[in-house]
Amino acid sequence: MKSKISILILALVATMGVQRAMAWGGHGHRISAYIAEQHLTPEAKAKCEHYLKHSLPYFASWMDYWRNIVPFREIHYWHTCTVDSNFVPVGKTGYPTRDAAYQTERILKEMGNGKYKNLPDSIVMVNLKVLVHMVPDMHCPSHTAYPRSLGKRVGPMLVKGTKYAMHKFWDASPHLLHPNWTVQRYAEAVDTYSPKKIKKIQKGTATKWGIDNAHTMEASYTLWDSGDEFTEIGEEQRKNIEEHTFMALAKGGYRLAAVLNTIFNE
Amino acid sequence: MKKITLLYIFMVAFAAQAMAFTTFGHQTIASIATKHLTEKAQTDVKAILGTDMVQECVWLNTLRTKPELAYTKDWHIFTLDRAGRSTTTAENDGIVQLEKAIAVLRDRANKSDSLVKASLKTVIHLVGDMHCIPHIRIDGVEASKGFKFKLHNTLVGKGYKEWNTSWEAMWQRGFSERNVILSPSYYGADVEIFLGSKKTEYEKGTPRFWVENVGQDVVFGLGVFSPNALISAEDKERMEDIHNRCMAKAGYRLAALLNDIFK
Repeated sequence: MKSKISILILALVATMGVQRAMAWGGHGHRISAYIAEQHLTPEAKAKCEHYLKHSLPYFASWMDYWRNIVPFREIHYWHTCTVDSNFVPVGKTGYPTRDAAYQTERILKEMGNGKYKNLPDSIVMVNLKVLVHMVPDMHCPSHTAYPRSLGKRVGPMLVKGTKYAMHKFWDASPHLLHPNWTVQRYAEAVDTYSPKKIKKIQKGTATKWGIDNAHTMEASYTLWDSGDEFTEIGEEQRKNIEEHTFMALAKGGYRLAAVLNTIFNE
Repeated sequence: MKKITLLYIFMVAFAAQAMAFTTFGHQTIASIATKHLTEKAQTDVKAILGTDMVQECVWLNTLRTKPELAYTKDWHIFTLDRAGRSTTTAENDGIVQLEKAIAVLRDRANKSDSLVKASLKTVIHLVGDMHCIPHIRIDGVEASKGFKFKLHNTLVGKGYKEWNTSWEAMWQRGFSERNVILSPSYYGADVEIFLGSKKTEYEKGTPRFWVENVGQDVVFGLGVFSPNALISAEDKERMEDIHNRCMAKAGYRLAALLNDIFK
C-alpha cells in the first residue's frame, strides 16, 4: 500500500519543474553525479540517458529546485538520514519513510534487477531524478541527523568574516575549496580509489551507508573550532577538510553508480 | 571625481554583464557549434581567428564597454514587428549587423583580414544572442524590453517565501549558470542528449527565420510572466526546456551557417 502511495505521489509530480538552500550546493552534487556517471555500466548509462534525456549531473540538484513546490513537497524530507545515539537508523520520529536511506531502498526494491520495466516511464524518470540527488546528498557530512550532535555541534566557520554554520559550510565546501575547478578537474582529484576499494565502498545497503555517514559526521566535529577563519586556517587543517569533502563526494558518486547499475542489471 | 569614475566603471561593467547570455552560455553554444562544423569550416575558422570559437565568442561584448564603441550595444538586440516578423532595416539592429557580417565573410577574398576576423567574431556572438530570449524585442510589446517580477515557492503558511527577480536574469543566468561547474563542452553535450535528434529541423532557414522562431518562445514566455507579477517557481522551472532548446538551436544554426559560408 505504502509503495502504491509513493508511486501515486511520484506520478502526480512526474509531469511537473526553487532554488533553496542546497545540500552539497550545486557544485558538490554535480561532482558526485559526474563520478557516478564514470562508473556506470554501458547499459545503465544508456538507460539513464533514455529515461532522463540528460546526463546525471544535469539533474543532480533537481530535488532542491523542486522540493518546495507543492506537488513535490514530500521529497523535501528525503535529503537526510537519521540514526540514534547508538548508530541505529531510526528515520524521523513518526515519519520513518522521510529518510534518504529508506527511500533509496524503496526505489531499489521497486525498480531493481529489471523491475523498472513494469513501471511507467514517467515514474522511472522521477525515481532516477530523486536517486541522482538523494544518494550523494546523504553523504554530505551534515546530512545525517545524529542525536549525539545535540549540545556538541561544532560552531560556525567564518569565511571572509561571514558565519558559515556547520551545515552551510559543508554544503559550500566543494566550491570554497576550489572555486575555479570544473567538475572534470574535481573528478580527477576525487575519483582516485582502486577498483577493489570502490567495490568495498559500494557494498551494503543504503541503511548501512547512512550508518557509515554518521561515523564520518562524528569525525567531522573535530575539524575546526568555532570561529576559525577559513581563509586563514593552516595547511594541515585545510587538507583534513579537503580529504573529508573529497571522500564524501567520492562515496556518494560510487554508491549512486552501484544503485543505478543494480537497477539496470538485466 | 574618483567616485564618479568608479561609478562609471561599475555602470559600464554592469551594462556589459546585464544584456547577454553569460560567457558560459556563449561558450556552450560555441562548443556545440564547433562539434558540428565540417573539417573545411573548422580549418578556415581557426585560420581566421587564430584560435577556436569558444575563446572568441564574447568578443563583441567587449566593444560596448569602450565609450567610442558604446553604440554597438544595440547590435545585441533583435527587433520583430507586431506580427512577429523580422522586417527591420535599422542599421543598429542585431539582424542587420549579422547580415552585414555574413556578407563580409562570403566576400572575404576581397576584404581585409581584420574585417573578416571581426565579422566572424560578430557572427559567432550574434547567432548566440539571437537565441537569448530577452534579446528579442517585439514592436508594441513593452514587456519584451524586460521587467521585474516576483517568484514564490508555492507553499502555504510558515514555509511560504517570495523573492525578486527579472525577465533578463531568468533567461541569462537562471538556468545555464546552474551548470557552470560543468565545462561548456560537457553542458553542450548534455543539451544534445535531449535535442540532438532535432538538429536537421533546427538548422533550416535563414537568420531572419531563426529570430522569428525565437520570437515565438518570447510570446509564449510573456504569456506566463508579466511585469510585477507574482509567479510560481514551478512556472519558472518549466522554462528550462525552452532555455535548453534555444542553446541547441543556436549551436546547430551557427554551425550550419559557417558550414555554408566556408563550403
